[in-house]
Amino acid sequence: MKNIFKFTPPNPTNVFKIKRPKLQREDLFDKSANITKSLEDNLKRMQYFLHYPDNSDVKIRTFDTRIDNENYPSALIFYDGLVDSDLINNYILRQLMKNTENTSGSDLKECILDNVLAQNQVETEEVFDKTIDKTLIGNCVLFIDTLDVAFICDTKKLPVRSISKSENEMSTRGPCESFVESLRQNTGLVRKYVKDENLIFEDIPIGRNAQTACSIAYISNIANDSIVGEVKRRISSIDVDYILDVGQLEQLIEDKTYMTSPLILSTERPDKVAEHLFEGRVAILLAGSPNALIVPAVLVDFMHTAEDAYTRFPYSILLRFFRFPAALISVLLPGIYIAIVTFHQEMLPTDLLFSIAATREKVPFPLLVELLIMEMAFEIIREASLRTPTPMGPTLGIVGTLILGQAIVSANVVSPILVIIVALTGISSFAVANFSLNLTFRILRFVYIFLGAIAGFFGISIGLLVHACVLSTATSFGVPYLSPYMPLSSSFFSTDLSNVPIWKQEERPTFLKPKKERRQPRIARKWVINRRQS
Amino acid sequence: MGREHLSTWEVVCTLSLITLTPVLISFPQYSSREFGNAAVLHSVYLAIVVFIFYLIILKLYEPFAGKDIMDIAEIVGGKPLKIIMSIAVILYTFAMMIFTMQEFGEDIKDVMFNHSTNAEINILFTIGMAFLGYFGIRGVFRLGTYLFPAIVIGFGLMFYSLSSKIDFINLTPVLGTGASTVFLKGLTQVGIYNSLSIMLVIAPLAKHFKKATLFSVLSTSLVIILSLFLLATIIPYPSLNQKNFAIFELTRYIGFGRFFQRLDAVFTFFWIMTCFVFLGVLLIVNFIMLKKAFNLKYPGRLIPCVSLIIFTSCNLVPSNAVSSIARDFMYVSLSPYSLFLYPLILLLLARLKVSGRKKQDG
Repeated sequence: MKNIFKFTPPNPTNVFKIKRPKLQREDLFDKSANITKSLEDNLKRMQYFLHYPDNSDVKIRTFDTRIDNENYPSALIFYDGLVDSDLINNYILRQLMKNTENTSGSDLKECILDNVLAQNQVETEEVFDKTIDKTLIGNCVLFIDTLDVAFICDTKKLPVRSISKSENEMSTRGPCESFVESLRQNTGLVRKYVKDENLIFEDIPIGRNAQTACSIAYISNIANDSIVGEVKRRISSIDVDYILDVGQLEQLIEDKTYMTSPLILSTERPDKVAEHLFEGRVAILLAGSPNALIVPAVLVDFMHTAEDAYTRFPYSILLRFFRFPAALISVLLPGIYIAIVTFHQEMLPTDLLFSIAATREKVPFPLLVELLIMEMAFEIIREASLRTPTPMGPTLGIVGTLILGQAIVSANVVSPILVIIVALTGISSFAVANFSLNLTFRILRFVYIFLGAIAGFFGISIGLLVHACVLSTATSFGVPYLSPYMPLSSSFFSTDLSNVPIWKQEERPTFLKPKKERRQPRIARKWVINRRQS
Repeated sequence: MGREHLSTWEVVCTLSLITLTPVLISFPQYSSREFGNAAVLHSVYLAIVVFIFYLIILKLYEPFAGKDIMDIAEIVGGKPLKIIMSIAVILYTFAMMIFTMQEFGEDIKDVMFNHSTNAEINILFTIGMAFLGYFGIRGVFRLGTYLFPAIVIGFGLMFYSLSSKIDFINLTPVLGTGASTVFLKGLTQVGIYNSLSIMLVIAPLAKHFKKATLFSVLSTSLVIILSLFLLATIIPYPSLNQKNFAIFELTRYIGFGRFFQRLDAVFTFFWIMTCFVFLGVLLIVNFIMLKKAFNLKYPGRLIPCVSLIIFTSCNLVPSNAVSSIARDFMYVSLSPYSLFLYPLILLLLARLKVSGRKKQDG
């Protein structure tokens, strides 16, 4: 590159007098064009690309940069609201406007980088599209006449909320922090828990129109390379205009879109992400999203809660022991009820059968209609309570459940036993902690109701059969979804279905094929041996 | 990260389930009719015979690791033999599926859906079977791993609940209708182990072929012996040989206290699913053979047509009795050939041919 500063110093006053080739209209549209030495051209293009002055938050500040008492016309471009004004005023503009002596004798570009910009992150770009992308995420761009590069200064100060308590994944033990919308804050939160130099955050921008920063996190000496490679391959090959949240990203990278069960675990807890990273999984964080995705995920992962890891093992066994039957109840109970009452009455003890028959005597609807009315009412109340402002929530709950429930039974629209069935199903569904799995169960419940109504246990058998086949053929990033049961591994009974004391949790999940299979030595509590020896 | 092979656990569970279907439908009835009180002894005898036979088969199979029975047929007689054998096996499995669906459907209708027609029941079986066909061999074999433990628990419950009704006197006289009937004529009943011949079709897919085969033999033997033991000790043989769906009858006796007095419907869950697995695996085996014999690229697209043909054929069978007789004929008269002689002769010829080639090559 020609050393313009040392050997042929230009006369800045004559810069605009030099006759330059006129910018053609077609050049103006070319985003991939290189930055030129003419500030005028560069400004014209940037104004065009950033829709200046229509775009009110785009700010262009023109001024003269003074180096060795020479003035160089310059321009600073940034989005107001995304940048830290103090940083620009004190460490960029002030530095550029005051005269700097180039004592080292380097060229202008080097001089600005080394002696003028008092910034910790400054880089140069040579093409417009990358420059624009970086402006959009809160950097400010500096153009200096006679230089065919743009200086990108990290001046981001995005409006973010402070880190707050996790609201959707509450736990009685363990950390309470949750992710926020700022990617760097989120990566910082994860790194706070994973103090390991092998934790890697690889950034891949997604989106054509609006490039959203996406960060793939993994621990390089634990995570299987093929899983990491697959995650990168899927994310880097996404070709969409924009992505706003990990919920959209999840749908773009999951293995089976039409499957009701979630194949990717989503969490708002950094400690949960850290725990899974230590197991050898990969986390995906996205700028603007207060959730992280964890892959690969297997069915059992969705049944676990954050506090399972933090409570003593007898407690977590107890909690899991109730959670699994609750899941089955929430999916199957209404279907089984309708199947028994319609087709298999002989299963019920005579007294109970008479009792059910008596309560249904005055109900005018067939059982299926009765059940659907109640299930739909319950779903509507649940949906409404989610959308209602917080102060109204309890009122809605009381009106919806107590008053409406009482009235609907008194009016003989449904039988009391059905209210018990629907209420038990609804309460059981709350025991399933994961929101996506909960929704899955809600969908499947209706399927099993219809199957039970059509063919009793026969219909439910077909449903279970198809469901089991769907689950057993599904994979999440190459890992069988029903691992560790299928393929069977010892961890299924020890840590996934039940739990063992933490000192016995020696191995990482084998189905992830981690680089390091053991997470702790066979004897993690050395003090036990020391005590015996002494 | 994807898994290609079927694990031993998957194979053992699924093959045991497939064996359970004929046991559920008519095998105990047939067995008690033929051998009287010696039905259990006969099942133990058959288990020993099949175990020894499969040791021989596995020995003969050693040089052909990774090959299925069709490949071996090709080694022996080239493509024509491969195609002929495939067609024979496909027809056999087709008939087996039709008669099983018809018979099981009618049994289910009798106990659960008195007001429904046979066709209505069969259409449900056909839908389930077609779905399983789409999920392929891995899907169905994995399904077996959930169902089989549930069935084992079910059998455990049956044993626990019915233990007070077990009467060992029902097993005497030990030799039942006579030693010659049990040990000579009894050999023709080997068709009950038909499911094991599937091993020879899925040989390249099994992770540990030898281990999976031996464990499957043991597991299926246990299923048959325990089922017959339970039936024969609780229901005296003159009654047993009159009963269709005998194990279902047995579940009617289960009761725990005053509340759980009738659990037969819960068990019907498992029996229906067992039948689905049976039909699904046979359908998939058919497609594997079709694919190999005729080099079909997308055999899965034939699933709706084939399922429809099976459903229609099923409705052409005039009654449960006809299907029962036909199935018994297949088990007694055809299965010994399909299970014993066909693979044995093929393997012997293939070994002779291979060793002959080696000698020629010097």
